[in-house]
Amino acid sequence: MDCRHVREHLSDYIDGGLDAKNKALVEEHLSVCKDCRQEVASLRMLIRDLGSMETVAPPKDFLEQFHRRMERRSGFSKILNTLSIPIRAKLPMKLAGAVVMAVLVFAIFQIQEDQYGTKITPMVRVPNQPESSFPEIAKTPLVTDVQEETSNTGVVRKKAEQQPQAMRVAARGDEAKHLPDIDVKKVASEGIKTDPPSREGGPIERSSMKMVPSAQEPILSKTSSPKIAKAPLETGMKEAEDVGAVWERIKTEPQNSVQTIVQKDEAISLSDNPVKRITHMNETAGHSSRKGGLIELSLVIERERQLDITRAALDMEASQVQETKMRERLMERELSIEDLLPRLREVIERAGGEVVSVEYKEGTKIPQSVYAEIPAEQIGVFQNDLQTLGILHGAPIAPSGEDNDILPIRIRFLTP
Amino acid sequence: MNEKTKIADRSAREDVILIKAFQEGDKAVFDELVLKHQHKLFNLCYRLSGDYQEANDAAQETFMKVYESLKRFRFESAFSTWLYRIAVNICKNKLKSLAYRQKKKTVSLDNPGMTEDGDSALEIRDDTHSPDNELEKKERMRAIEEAISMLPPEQKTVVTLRDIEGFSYEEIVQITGTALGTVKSRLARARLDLRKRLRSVMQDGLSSC
Repeated sequence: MDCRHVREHLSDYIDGGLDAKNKALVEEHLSVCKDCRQEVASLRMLIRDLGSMETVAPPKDFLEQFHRRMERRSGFSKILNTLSIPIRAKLPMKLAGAVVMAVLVFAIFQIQEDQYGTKITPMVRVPNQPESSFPEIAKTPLVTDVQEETSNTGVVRKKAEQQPQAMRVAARGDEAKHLPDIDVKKVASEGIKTDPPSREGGPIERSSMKMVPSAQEPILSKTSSPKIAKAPLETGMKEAEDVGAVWERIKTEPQNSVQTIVQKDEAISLSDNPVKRITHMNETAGHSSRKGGLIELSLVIERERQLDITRAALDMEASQVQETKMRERLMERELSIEDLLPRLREVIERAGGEVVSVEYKEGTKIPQSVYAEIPAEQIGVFQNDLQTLGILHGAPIAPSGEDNDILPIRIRFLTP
Repeated sequence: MNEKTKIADRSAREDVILIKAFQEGDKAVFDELVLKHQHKLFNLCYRLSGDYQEANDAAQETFMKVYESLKRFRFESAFSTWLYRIAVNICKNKLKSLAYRQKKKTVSLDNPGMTEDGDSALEIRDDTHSPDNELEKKERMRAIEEAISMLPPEQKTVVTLRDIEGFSYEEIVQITGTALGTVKSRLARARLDLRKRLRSVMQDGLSSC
């Protein structure tokens, strides 16, 4: 056995791990090899030194440290266990999902609000099928009525406006199929005269305070009693899953406050009114239902009248200011409805009435409509005065049977 | 049966009694197990990590792991073997940490034997030497420590268990979970490596013998 082989076994030899045969061979070599003997001595000394190395004492408070660590870990484990219980349960995860959905829906509404600049109202899915969805309306005799264009979304509204007249009549005919009491031709000839395309200035909040079949429908039904008005809303909710239903905004106000009283005979010609639509009303719902209901009127302010009003409000005279500058000024002021309000207050007060509230466009000082209470005996004077401010749309208000009545009226401002 | 073996057997029997008491619900006896094994366990951790604080963390972590697992201990090996096997694994994992290695470069060269109170924790086994020999031995020990710290982890573990802590080959096989032949070869390579690294120190030691 040479030195290389012997040195491979020296570690085991020193520990006494070699078998007798190998031990004898190693010892035989060591007896004749000084270097290998030196190697053995060196290794023995190393092992002896390793065995006599200093011991390092643990900290004196090793046990206390251990106790503290165990307490911390048990506390942490309790927290983990507490947290892990709801994680294991499925209900909180579902709840978390619901919260996320709620946040998303809220965010979408916020985006829409920003886009249209109007106050967001709940979205309700309204079915297109009047017979199934509006059973009480279908049973109700109808009269013609005037109702403003109510769509909030320009896209939908434009589609409706671009619809050919023939198609509109056909659409009315479709609707009438579900409304057996209506004489479609009669309504079309008497109620609808013209309906040219037009655009209103700025976004307008939906005026209808009840469910209507669709924004794309040219004719919107309006009910004459709170009971009837309420039924479609509930039905519409239930029918939310109907195929072909469309989404539409509605304003959720008390249904019993919604009344428009117009007789069929009194239907207004729309030849000079591009923003009006004819709708059906209960023929018998005339004066009697007016007592407890809200009378709705629309005041269309023509541009020339706006100029006059603005001029008056700005205390300017046409001779002093060039007409072009006046018009620019007018545009800057986003129409003169803002200036119209004081004039309307004067008219109301002159009729012995009072302004109950003013509805402004969301986030602006531009009034959209005024709620007022006018003594019934002064209603004729009031209507005449209103026409000095603009073109009055809405059914002429017939004198009430009782002069002591106070009539709630809503005047909506429109611009051509 | 020599004296060392008798002591080891007596110690193992004590461990069995304490562990059974623990498993029957007397959690307080674990303190006795800690006090009984803390010195040797701490030393092993210190030799393997080369850092006092790291050794403390590893030893504490070992006892915590043992506390959580002791109820399931089935006495298939000696408690001490099981305890050191856990400690070796924990130290091995710590050594693998890059952060630990970087920290070690800056810390281990300082005096590693300082307790939290600032006292020296180093204890000299043999105090019969003269002051000169004492200084010489201290220098040699420091050189050995440095040489050990440079060994590969597997060799360091085996040489620590065998030559510093005095475990038998059989115990080392159980603690490290490696074959006897592997243990022997690793130990032989570790000793040769240390001897080469400490050649000058060992020559002085030999000449002084």
